[in-house]
Amino acid sequence: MEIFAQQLVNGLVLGSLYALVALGYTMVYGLLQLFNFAHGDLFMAGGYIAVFILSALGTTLASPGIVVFVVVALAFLAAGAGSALLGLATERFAYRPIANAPRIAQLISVLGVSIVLQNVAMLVGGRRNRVFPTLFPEGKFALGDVQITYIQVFIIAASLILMVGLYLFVNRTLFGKTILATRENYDAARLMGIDVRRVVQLTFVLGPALGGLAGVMFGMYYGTVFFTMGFVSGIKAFTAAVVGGIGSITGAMLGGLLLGLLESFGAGYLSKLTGGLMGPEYRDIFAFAVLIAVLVFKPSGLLGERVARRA
Amino acid sequence: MRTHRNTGWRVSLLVALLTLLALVVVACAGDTATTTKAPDTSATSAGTETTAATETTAASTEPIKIGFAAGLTGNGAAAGQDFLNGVMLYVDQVNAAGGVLGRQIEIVSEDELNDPKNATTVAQKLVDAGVVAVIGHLTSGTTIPTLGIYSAAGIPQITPATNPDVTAQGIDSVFRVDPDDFAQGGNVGRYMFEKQGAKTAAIIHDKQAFGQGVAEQFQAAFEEAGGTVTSVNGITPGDVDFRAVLTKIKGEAPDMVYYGGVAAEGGLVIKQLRELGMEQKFIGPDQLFGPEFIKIGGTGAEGALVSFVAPPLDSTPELSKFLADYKAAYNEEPFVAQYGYDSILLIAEAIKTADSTEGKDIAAALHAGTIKGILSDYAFEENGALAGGGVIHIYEVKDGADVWIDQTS
Repeated sequence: MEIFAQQLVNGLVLGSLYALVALGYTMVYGLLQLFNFAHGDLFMAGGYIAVFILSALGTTLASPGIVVFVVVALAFLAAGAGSALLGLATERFAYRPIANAPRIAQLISVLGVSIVLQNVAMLVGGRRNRVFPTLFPEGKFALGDVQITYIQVFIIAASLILMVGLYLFVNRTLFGKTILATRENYDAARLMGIDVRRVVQLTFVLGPALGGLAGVMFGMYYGTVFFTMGFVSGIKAFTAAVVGGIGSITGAMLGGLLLGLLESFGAGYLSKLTGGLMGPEYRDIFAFAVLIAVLVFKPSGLLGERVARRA
Repeated sequence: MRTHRNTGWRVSLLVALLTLLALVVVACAGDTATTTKAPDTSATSAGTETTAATETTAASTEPIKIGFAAGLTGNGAAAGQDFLNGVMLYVDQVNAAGGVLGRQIEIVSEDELNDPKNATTVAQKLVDAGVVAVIGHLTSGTTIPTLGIYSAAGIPQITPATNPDVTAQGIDSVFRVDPDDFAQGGNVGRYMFEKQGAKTAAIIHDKQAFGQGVAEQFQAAFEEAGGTVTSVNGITPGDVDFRAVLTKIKGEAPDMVYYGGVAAEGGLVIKQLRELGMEQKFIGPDQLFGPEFIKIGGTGAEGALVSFVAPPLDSTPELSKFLADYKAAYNEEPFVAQYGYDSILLIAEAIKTADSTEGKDIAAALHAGTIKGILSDYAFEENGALAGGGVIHIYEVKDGADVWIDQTS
């Protein structure tokens, strides 16, 4: 039972990170029907910005607590802001000029942005995995036999706060409602006087900001960042968003958490379930098989909405 | 659908001419590629080159080209770079003393990013560059695919890759400069059961030629000695989260965990293992030796054991001198560079003995006698394996460094 609980904790943390990244994909797709290839790399960019700042400042856990706190907060802010800016730049230079072009052109454009971001990270940060400085208190506490590190608690809590914050923003504020309105019908929204360009920009800012913060959390949790980390995580997060219901914010959260739990339980129990035939290395196959099954039975995703198509 | 005025032929002609022109330009530029090519910086390319000495014009004093291949960037780059540094240390020393047979040694180095897919491309590049011998590659996964390429071109190959398959292909021009996995995995299996008192073990490996190979040897020896393996688990290189696998192993409560793989994942495994509150003994093979595993593992790496083929660098006068020279030249501690040093030493000595730079003469000279290197006296068996089996040294990570604690045979 303790092992199950431990796997649950592992899965929740993993899932929280996927969920944060999935939000960015789902928001852009819901509004523009565009799979933003570059989003995974904005997640990576957040991690890299934090690594650069933390390495430059050179703070270690040996410094007084308040200094460490300020430095870490600074890293988060910089990463979130940096990714948001990169997202804005993506919108301005890679999307807006061809906003009325066929979808395929926009897709290639963001793919190009993705490649550029990866290569810039590689050229500036080096080809090797970069070690992320340990700045979060390393302790853990035990709930029975389950070991939970402080950083795991932090990630779950922070992700929850961010996700709830986004949900409230989109559903309860006026600005958020303009996003919903534009998503429902772009032209009607424009006719109603909504500044759709602002809405598009906002979408390209909120998603990447969350992604950038997730990138910092990833770096802190695993102690490493690498310039290809956006690629695999991006694909997984996008799949999670689709399974949750593309376009739905709660769907993305659900999908991300589901994927994290599937990977965790998959790796943990697969050999038991298959009598040793398939080991933990089949974890990704298992997780994605389940996701495919979900889509076969419910193509619009778990919380899929019927979003009116753009004319 | 054809239009009446068929002008398509003009376009086709233009394309054909341009292609021809491009081919001519590439062919001409290709001759100077080894010394003038700028480093390629795209994320998917696999080649950078360095030269150790400037070229001279007279044919009989032309530099002797020796190839070098390893992962110089990407995962495992620390080891690859260290390996190259060892080679270059010897080359600089020898060239300053007048070279070999009056000729300077020139190292043609290629980066295969420690990826088996790139290894064969890089091998072909070195063959085309006209090298007389090759040092490389560094790991088993990248060496095995290249064996046929170098051997078909008659180029002797010196490698530290430990997978037994490297010397099991019937090639008479490949030479391994360290004990193989039978020793590394096997000796350690016996050692952990007998000397460290571990009765049960869980095994993790990265499903690559080296990692899985050495893990299988460990399992065979551990079980033969009387131990029980609770589970064998595979992970994927490039992954970062191993908590699920480790939690599963936690449930099995083994006495120890054996990890077969490289430092990039190994460091994360030990870090997450300790974070999960698991206190089992942990040991891994030579790829975990050195600073990368310790850096990535952080405080979790303390107390971890690493098996390594080389003795400590202060155990003999030759090694102490090498250590001092290396630190003076590169301002850091070497960890696999001594093998690079001995690899190029072997080739240079063989060339001197054979008084020739022909591949088959070099190979014959290496098979014939015993050559004294800084790590040991090298004699090779028919298949290229190091004669006399091997002694494996056990190190423990203490205060952020590898400290020698024992040796097994």
